[in-house]
Amino acid sequence: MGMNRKRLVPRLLNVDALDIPAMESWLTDLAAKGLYYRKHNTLFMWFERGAPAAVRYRLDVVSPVSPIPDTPQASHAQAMGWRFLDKLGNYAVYFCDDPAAPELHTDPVTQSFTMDQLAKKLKRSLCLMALLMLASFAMVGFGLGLSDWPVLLLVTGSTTLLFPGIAVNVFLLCSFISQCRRFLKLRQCLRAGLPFSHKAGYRRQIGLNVGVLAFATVFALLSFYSAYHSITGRNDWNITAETPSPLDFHLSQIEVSPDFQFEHEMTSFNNEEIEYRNRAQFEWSLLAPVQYNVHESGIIPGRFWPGGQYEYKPSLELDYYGLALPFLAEPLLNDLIYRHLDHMAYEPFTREWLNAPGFDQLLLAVEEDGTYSMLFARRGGRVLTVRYHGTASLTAQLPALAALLQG
Amino acid sequence: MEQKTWDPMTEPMFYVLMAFLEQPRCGTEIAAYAERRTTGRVMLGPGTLYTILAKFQADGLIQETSVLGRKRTYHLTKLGGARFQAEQKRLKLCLGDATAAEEEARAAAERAAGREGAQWA
Repeated sequence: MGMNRKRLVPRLLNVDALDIPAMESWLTDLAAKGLYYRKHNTLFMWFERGAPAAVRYRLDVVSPVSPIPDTPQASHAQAMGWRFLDKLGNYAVYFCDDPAAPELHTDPVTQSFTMDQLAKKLKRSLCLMALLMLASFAMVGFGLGLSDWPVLLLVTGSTTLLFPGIAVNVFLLCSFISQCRRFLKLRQCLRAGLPFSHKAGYRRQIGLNVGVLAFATVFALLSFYSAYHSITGRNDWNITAETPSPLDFHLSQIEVSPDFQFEHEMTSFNNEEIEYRNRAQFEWSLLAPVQYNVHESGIIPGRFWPGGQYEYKPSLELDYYGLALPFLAEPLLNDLIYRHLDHMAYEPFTREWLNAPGFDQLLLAVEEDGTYSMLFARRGGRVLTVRYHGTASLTAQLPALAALLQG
Repeated sequence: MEQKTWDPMTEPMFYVLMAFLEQPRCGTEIAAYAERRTTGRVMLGPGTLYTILAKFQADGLIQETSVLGRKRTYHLTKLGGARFQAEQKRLKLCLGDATAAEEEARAAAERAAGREGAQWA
C-alpha cells in the first residue's frame, strides 16, 4: 500500500470530559512532551509522536452557532493558524502551532453563546440522572427493606454486588454534578465578559478518575466471577453411599432405634432419577462461599407418631453457611431465627438460649408437643440451622453439632 | 426592538456589523476589515467570527447572499442596519457623556488651580 502511517500512542481518557480548561491544558502539556492528539474512542485518546513544542489546543462547544466547521470555515480558520482536528464529545478540537495566531475565541461573550445549548442539555441530563439514581436507590432500599430477612438475602443472593455498584454510580453522579457546575460557572464568567485561563490543573482529576476506573474494573471482574462461580459452583445430588452428605451429622445419629432406616423416594425429572427425601445441595456466593442444604428422611417401621395415627417418619434439614465476613454471622443467625421460627412457625415453641461449649450463640426451640425442634447456632464465621421433625431431643447432639461448626 | 442576549453588543460584534455597511462580505473579508479598521486592536478569532455570523444570521441581522465555491457571502438586513444604528447611537451617547464629564472635570481642576493662585498672589 506504501502508506507511511506513524504508530499512535494511547492514553486513557481520564480528564473530565466537560472541563474545557483542564482538557486544553492536558493536551498542550502532552504536546510539550512530544505527543500530539489525533483521535479518540470511548476509553482512549490516541497521540502521534513528534518533536516537543509549545502549541495550543482549544475546545469549542459544538452548537447551532458553532457547528463542526464546514470547508470555508475550516480553511479560514486554517489561514488564521487554527486546524480543526476532531470532534471530542460535545467539543470540536482545534490545534494551533503558530504563536502569533490570534486566539480561536477573541470575545468571551460570544464564546458563552456557544455554550447555551449544551448548558440546557446538561441541566436536563442532570435532572434525569438524579431521578434515575433516586429511583434505583429506592428500588434497592425498598427491596432490602421490604424483605424480612435482608441479611440472609444479602449473604446468599446476588444483592452483594449492589453496594460497590451503587458506590460507582454515586461517584459518577457526583463527578457529573461537579463537571456541570464548573461548565456553568465558566459560561457565566464568559457571559460577564471575563476570559478564562487556558492553563488549569488536571492531575487530581486524573488520579480520581483512574482510581474509580480501577474500582469499577475490579467490581466488574468480581461481578463476572461471582455470577460465573454461583452458576457453575451450584451442585445438588442424591445422598447415597457413593455420594454422601457433605455434613457429618445425620438423622441416624438422632434416631438411635436399631430399626431406623432411611426412606427413599425416587422421582424422574429430565431423565434424571432424583431422590428428594435424601438430598444435598451446595451453593456459592461471594459472602457465603460455602452453603450446604441437606435433607434426610427416615422411617422406623412399626412405630407411630404420638397419637398413634401415622407411621413415624422423622426428617432432618440442615442449613450450613461458611461466611467470608465473620461479622455477618450474628445478623444472619437473627434473620434465620426470624425466618424459620418467628415467621414460619404457627404452633407455639418453647425457646431456650443455651450456653454450650463450641458455640458463640445457640438457640433451641421445641414445639409444644415435642415433635418438631429447631436449633440455631453460630461459631466464628459459621452458621448452622437444624430443623428436626421427630421425637428425640437435639440437646444430646450438641457435641456433634459443635464439631460441625468447627469445620 | 426585542432585547437580545447581545444587547449591548461587544466590540467584535459591532465591528462585524460595521463590516457590512460598505458591501456584502465573506468571513475572511470581515476579519481583515475589523483588523484594518482598528489597526489590529480588534482581532476576530475564527471561533468568535463564525459564532457571531451564525448568531446574527439566526437573529435576522445578516443574510447569506451567495455561496461561490468555498466563499460564503453575507449582507446586512434592514434589521441588522437598525441594530447597528441603535448601537452606534448608544456608543455616541456614551462618548458624549464621557467627553462632557472629562470637560467638566478639567474646568473644575482649572477653577481650583485659579483659586489657589489668587491665594498666593
